This record gives sequence, C-alpha cells and structure tokens, in this order.
Amino acid sequence: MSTLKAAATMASGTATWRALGTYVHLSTSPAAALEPARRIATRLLEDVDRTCSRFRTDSDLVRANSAAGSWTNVDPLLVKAVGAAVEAAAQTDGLVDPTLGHALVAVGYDRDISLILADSTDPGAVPVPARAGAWRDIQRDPSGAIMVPRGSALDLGATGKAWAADLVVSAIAAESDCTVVLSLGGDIAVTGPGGWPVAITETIDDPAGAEVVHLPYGGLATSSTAARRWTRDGVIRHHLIDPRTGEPTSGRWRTATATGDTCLAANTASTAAIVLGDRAVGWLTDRDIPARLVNTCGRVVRTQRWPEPRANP
Amino acid sequence: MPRSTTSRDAALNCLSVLTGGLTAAALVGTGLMTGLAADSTAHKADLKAQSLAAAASARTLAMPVRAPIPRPTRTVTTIRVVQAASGATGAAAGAATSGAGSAGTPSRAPAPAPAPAPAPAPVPVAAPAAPPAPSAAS
Repeated sequence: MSTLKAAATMASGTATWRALGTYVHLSTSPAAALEPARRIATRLLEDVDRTCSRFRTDSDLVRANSAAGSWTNVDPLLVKAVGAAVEAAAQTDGLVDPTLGHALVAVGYDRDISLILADSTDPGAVPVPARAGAWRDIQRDPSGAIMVPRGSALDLGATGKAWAADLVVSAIAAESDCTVVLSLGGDIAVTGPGGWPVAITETIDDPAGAEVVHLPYGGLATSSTAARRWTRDGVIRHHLIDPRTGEPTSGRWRTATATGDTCLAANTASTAAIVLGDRAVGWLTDRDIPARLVNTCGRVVRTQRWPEPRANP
Repeated sequence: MPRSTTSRDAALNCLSVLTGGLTAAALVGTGLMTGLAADSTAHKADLKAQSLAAAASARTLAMPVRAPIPRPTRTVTTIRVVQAASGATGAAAGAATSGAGSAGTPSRAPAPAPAPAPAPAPVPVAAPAAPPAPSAAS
C-alpha cells in the first residue's frame, strides 16, 4: 500500500476557526493529533496577528510603519515575516512587493476587510504606486529591529498568511509525526507522509464546485481578485495591487493557483501570476511551477505540470 | 686721634684692589668649573653612544637569519556537492578536486545552499479518502 493511501485511509480530524481576518482549516491524520496541533496553531497565529497585523494599533508592524525612516525594536517574529516578504519580492523582481501599505490605504483597504465591506461607500483616493525597489531598502536586525524605508509603509498581506501556514505546520511537525494540513485563507501547507487532498475554488462559497487534487508535499496557494472586493467612489476595488501603478490589478487573470516547495513559494507564484497578466503563463513555465489560472471570463488554463481534472466516478 | 686723609685714601684704594681681585678670581674659577663640567658631560655622552652602538651590534649579531618560507604557487579547490533526494533515498554526496598544488593546505569551498525542492505536481483525485482542505480566496 502506498504512503498516499495509507495516510488517506487513516482516520483524520479537522478543526476550523477564524484568525488573521480569514478562515483557518486544520486537519491531521491520525485524528488524535488534532488537539495538540490546534493548540500550537492557535498560539502561533495569535503571535503573528499581534506582531504583523496592519489593522491593530498595538502591533509591531504599525509601530514600525509609524517610525518609517528610523529603526524600531520589534518582535523577532516580525523580522522573520518581513524577511520572507523581502525574499518573495526578490524572487519576483518586486512584483510581490511588501511596501504597498500606502497604496492599499489609498484604494480603501485601511481596516479589516469585514469593516470595509460593511461600509463600502467611502470616496476614492489618489492611487499611490510603490516607490520602485523600496523593498530593497528595508533594514532588518534578526535580534529584533527593523527600519521601514522613509515614505513607505509595509503590508504583509501578500505573503503573511502563507508564511504563517508554513510556520504553523513546521511547528506541529516538530512535535508530532502526524500528517498535517493547514489552510489559512486558501494558502495551504502540508507535511507528513502521504500529503493531503485539496479542493480548489475561486472563493470559499463558489457555486461552481471544486477541482480536487492531491498535494504530495509543500504548499499550494490561490490568489484571486474575486475575493476581498469593495467599492470606492463607485469603482470596484480589490486587494491585489500592481506595485507599478498603485492600482488594483486589472489583467487577464482573476484567479491563480500554484504549488511550491513551501506555501510561501506557492503564494509568491500565484500572486505574481495575477500581477503579470499576459506574461504569467510564460513566467510560470520558465520556473517549472504547476499552476491553474482562471481568466476574467471564467476559462481555466493549466500549465504543463498541472493535471487535467479527473471525472467523478 | 684723628686719622689723616692720606691713610684713609690708601685704605680705600687697597679695598678696591682687593675687591677687584676677588671678583676676577671668582670669574676665572667659575669659568674653569663650567669648562670641566662640559668636558665631563661630553665624555659621558661619548661613552653612552659607544655603549649603545656596541649593544646594537651585539643584537644584530645575535639575530638568527630566517630562511624564506616557500609559498604555494597554486591553490587546490575542493567542491562538494550535496544532492537532496525526496523520499527515503537519502542524500548522495560527491566531491571533485581541481588543480594541483605544489605546497600549502587545500582550501574547501563552502557547501552550497541546498537547492529548494521542485514545486510539487498535484495529482488529480476523483474521490478523496479524507476531507480535502479548501484553497479558496477569502
């Protein structure tokens, strides 16, 4: 019997709750490992929220943004999160940019998404494109200090959830030999023998139904302009910003799903694909990244290593 | 009894002569002493210089002559490649050496960072045995 089947047939347990402004879906096999895993996940996600949130006035990230241009003492956890964001920016030559804080506020993403949706009539503001290459000027001291470039504000929305998913799954794996999968708002990290099945949709309540694949290891992430949308000054806005314009992306793809050796790598690829638009398929193929893209008309395009769906029996 | 003017003048003259003589003697004495002291200082300086020169000469003689240390004319570089393998196959390591050194210690290049695993290819599933984890934007 393959390890894949062995993991699948073993009884599994699942817990769901909300954290970081999104849904959390945690499964383990065997089920007995679920409760200890959930405790680890809850604690770590609280730490991530306390340090990395852009919407908590007491977070380390908000303090660092307020003091842009000078060093700020922060929790080393934030330094790691910022390091992951800078790594993603380097791998995409700035397509996934962590210095879009001001741009997001300008398009109206200035509070938790649930509050924006409840009051989605504010007047629009002037778009604020990111200063090109500002992410290269982010200074980090691993012992617990960062310096945000003057005139910039960090936002870890593009990488923070994926990085946190990797962090949580690694911590659980260090304590247990179980197979574990964590979905943090669609950013999935899996570890342990056998991998885990994943159901892919554009939004969490997508009536079109899911495409189910088996993820053997690593990460899988879905980025979409179909979620986190609101209206400003009569214009529909969303959270995926093109750093070159400071505006929400308006390219060919509305949803991109990609895999990676980590969830962070997968999410970096899926976000970059949305920003790249027409050049996305070539960019993903050059890097041998399996991806599934949905264009603005709903047509699905798969890259070379992404399988065609198997019909239900 | 009153003194005569003549004897008084004679006494005064003698005193003047005596004072002048003493003054002259003092000047001559001081000059002689100064000269002697200068001679003595110069002599001591000479002796000191001779002593230092002798000591330096002795040190120079005592210094061993170092032979030149031969240096390597070529560098040996060892490149170690560690290749990670997925699953239970473990890791395979190999080493390659380039260059031939005439002398010196071979230098080892730092091990390269392990290459990240390739992005996993998903496998289509028709009927998953476990509840699938959702990947949907929220």
